[in-house]
Amino acid sequence: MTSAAASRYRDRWTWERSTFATHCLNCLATCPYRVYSRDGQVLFEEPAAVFEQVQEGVPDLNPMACQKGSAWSVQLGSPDRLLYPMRRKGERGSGEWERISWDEALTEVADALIEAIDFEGPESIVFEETVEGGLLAQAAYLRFAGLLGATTLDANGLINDFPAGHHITFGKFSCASSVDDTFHSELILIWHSNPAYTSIPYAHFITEGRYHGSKVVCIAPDYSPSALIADTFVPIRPATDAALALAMCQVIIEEGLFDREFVQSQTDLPLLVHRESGRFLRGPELWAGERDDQFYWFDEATGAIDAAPRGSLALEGSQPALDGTFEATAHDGTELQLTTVWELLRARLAAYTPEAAGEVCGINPEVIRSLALDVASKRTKIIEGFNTPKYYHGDLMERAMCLLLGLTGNWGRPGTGIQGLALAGLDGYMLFGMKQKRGVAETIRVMEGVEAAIEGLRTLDPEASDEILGYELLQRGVAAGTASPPAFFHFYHCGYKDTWNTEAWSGPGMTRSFEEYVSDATRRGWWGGLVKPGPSTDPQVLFIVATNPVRRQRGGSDTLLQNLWPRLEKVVVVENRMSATALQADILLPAAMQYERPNLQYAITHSFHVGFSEQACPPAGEARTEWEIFKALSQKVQERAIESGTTEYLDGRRQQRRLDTLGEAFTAQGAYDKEETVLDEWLRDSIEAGTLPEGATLARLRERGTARFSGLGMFAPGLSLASTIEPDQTVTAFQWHAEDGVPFPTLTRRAQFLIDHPWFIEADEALPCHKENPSIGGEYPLFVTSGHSRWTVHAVSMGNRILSDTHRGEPLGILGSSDAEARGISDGELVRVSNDRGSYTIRVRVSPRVRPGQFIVYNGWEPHMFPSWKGSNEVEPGMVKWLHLVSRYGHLRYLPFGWQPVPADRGVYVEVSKA
Amino acid sequence: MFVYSLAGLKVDGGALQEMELEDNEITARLGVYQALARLASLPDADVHHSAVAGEWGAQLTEAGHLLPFEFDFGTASVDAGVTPEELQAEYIRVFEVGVNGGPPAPLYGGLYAGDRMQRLEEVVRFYEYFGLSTSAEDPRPADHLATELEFMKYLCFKEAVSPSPRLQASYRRAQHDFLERQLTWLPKLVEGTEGGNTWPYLRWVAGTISGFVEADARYVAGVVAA
Repeated sequence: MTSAAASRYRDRWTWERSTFATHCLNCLATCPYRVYSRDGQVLFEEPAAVFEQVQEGVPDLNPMACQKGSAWSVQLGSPDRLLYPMRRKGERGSGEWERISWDEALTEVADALIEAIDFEGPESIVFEETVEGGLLAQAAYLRFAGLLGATTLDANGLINDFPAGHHITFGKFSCASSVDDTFHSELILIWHSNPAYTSIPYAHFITEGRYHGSKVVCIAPDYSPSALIADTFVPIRPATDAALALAMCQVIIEEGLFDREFVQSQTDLPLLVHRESGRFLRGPELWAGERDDQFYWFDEATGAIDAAPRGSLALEGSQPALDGTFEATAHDGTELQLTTVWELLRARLAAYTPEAAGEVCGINPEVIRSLALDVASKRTKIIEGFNTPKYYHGDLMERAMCLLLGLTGNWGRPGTGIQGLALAGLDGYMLFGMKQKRGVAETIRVMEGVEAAIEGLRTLDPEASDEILGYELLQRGVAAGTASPPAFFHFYHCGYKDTWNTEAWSGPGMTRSFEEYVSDATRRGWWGGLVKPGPSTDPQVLFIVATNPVRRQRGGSDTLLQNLWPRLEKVVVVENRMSATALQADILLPAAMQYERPNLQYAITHSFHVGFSEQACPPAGEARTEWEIFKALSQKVQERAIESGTTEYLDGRRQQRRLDTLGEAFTAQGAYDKEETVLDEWLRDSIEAGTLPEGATLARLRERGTARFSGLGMFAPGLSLASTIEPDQTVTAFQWHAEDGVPFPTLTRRAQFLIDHPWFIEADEALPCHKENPSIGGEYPLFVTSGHSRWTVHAVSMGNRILSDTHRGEPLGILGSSDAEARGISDGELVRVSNDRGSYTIRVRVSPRVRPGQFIVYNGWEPHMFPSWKGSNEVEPGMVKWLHLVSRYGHLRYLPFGWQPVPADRGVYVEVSKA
Repeated sequence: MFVYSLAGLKVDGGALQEMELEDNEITARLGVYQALARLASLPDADVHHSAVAGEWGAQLTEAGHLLPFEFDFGTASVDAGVTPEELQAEYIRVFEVGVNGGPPAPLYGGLYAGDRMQRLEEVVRFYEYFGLSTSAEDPRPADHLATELEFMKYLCFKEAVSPSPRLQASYRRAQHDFLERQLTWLPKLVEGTEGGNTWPYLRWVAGTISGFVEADARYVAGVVAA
């Protein structure tokens, strides 16, 4: 090598500045990286490995990283970057654009917003919510939308990472321990998930746990990449996981292997129910004026029916009966015939002997028995991920998994629990929306206001825990907010009514059409104030910020483009790249990417550390950060509103709003002009609220790249982890419940396996059960499973040329060898995938690891990567389970990111043939 | 009566506060920081008078007589023949301008931190979060020692007058954080004054400020930890 060439090579890696950054949050890791730059250009990045060991004897988190993060900088200069504001010239989607100035773009958008407010009201301005751009991006559009009184579609209702079964059981969905807690497990069940692909930064804890002596079992239909790191692979017929879990429960109960005290104290299984109706015995039945949410058990210690404590799970000498039938006299003299939930459960489980369930699941009964014995005798953790919620009956699968853990004492102790989602309480972010001005005095004022409100609620229910009251408070806040479960928007405005009314694709437990259930639920006021825009309000402006609905929309891209798009006056997309959705915009506003802006990543607690990004380089072209975009848009709306005289209006709740001060309101009179000021404020406020340790300021994050959370804070999403964070211990969710007896935020204050709501009873889903996956898409022989691919999570890294070089670079479906042979399909051929919903074409890989009758299509491919620009969502109707329309039943009520109807995209049936 | 004023900083909203404060450990610390901030400022006629009279040690001891920890302020003076202008000139030479290559002991924390702009940004954020902004009327930068000492005084003041225990605790934690993260450069300031020709009085000023801040930091850390 010549000296000049060597110098060029060396110069390539010579950097001037090193900053910390993280990337997408899609796998929930928010990995800290060091980003090296020179002359305002990012040269490369590398995993930072800044985590200190938390607990002696437990491996540290380092290095949290994956190939996507390590190649992130390639995307900064990707050919599909959006560099300038653009206006559509031709038809929507034609790809014809004209470059315009920021002022022109903002003026056009501002005028459209003012018009929308004038014509249809602010709720006709709809934001597709996202978590992709990080907290600052989210804060920007939520602040803007909140000031307008617009509609924000709940992200979890769009992407369906909502584990409904967790919520039904525990009253919350944030149940995951820190990822290093896996090391404490004696039995790790990789169940319905594929962490070897989807959790690359922290899947190593499974392997390390295995070295440590834990047994790893992978339960999946196919011999998945995660089966490679398991001791035992249990192949299961797709979507029969509930049957497997219930069979294990049956063995554990009948063999007497259950943890009696845990069942008695933690679950609703000892509670009394009416023998005939299967409904709970409630307070007003025994005592006039008693609380409706007072439940009862038969205490063998006293030989009498007693009120089950609502304020504590501790038994305190009680011995609630599990078995038996009981009689009581109602206050009106009626004789009541009672039994326990436990008895109902045993009766239900009689249908789930290993032999019977084995027939359903395709698993040898002895394997089921053996697994059950293991779960009963070992500290067991289920690594679940977000695959299960995407099945129509995913809630039943999760409820059955939770039951298995509940019977065996497997939550609240190190190495136990179910690993899905966990939201940390970055309370500074929560407080931000409530503060009128910046500064600690205002923070304390708000915090004390929150505490006063909680204490006010406590007077209504003195036995409620802080967590329960936090949810109560959040519930009240939601009523005044902009959030809306998107299922209603899709139903009324996006053409899903006919799809969801398709009986053949729905659950057999329905006695009416989906539409009738919707009417019933809304008529009863279960979703009062949350159906936005209402059926009679035409959506006017759609704002899409850092998300890609045209790619992922269940039902295919045409569903939105044919039903919603024609009704919209303006489609505004804030994006950093020309995504499938950006292509369909009227106005494109180019956004900065990670590395080009300061940010905190969404507060996910898998690592229990804050994800932090410092700006390493300026945004490409004329791109701006979301904060800058919405700040400028606020100012422009203010300016145009004053010019047009539209300065005041009433929002959907008849609250007065002002446009002539919008710009000042957005920045709180200039206090939040700079993004770093906002981040600094969030961090300092989080310290005040106790979620971050003292000193975890922006300056400290710049030095160290991350900071470990020190507490769960004061708000419900964080508190739901229910665990004290010790500086030298891994974090185990539900410790407060299991060790301290703090009640669950459910109707019964216990992990609740009986849902005695009439709709659940009607559907025979009051208790967990297995139901066959509906024939979604029609009667076809192949069952589609999916998940994140190895190379990208969603479409974020799909255009990365380095990553594209590491795989075939185009969409891929994986078909079992026997199915391919039967259809005369060879590896590498293009095939047509079709069902009654639609069709698309994809190249196929033939693999013996896929079970007969299964077809795997990992998701994240952009439509343009498919022939005819039709992707795998073309065959996904996106069916919504009707029972999730239930609300105002104890804990089954809407909460942001939580309980709501969500679309299923897995488990559709298709046929595959040569294209 | 404690008349609240700030050098280099202004209270957001503009109004200065004036109120009676009881003498206690907090106000003792407050009083010492106020006196030290004056010592760190360009000496005016009053400062000169006290320096010539050798009264500063006694004044500091009096201000801090209720301090919750032991601290010997010592004392120093300047020659009786030194005029106010001469004292100012020496202050400027040692702390502000110098002769060759800058002052031997600059009073700007950012100069000791490597990246002064970042340091300035950090202290300004600190001030803003606790209700202060830099004052347009005062030309001193935000990282000037007098300004930082004024900020400590302000935090003590807020701790003393806050009605909410949580807010009091917050101001205590802020003191701890500021002492631990920002006012850590004072030993280097002392080193800078240890050259042969710095007047003993200014060496005493630097040493006393550094010593007191170090002692106070230990005390505050203990309180916060408890």
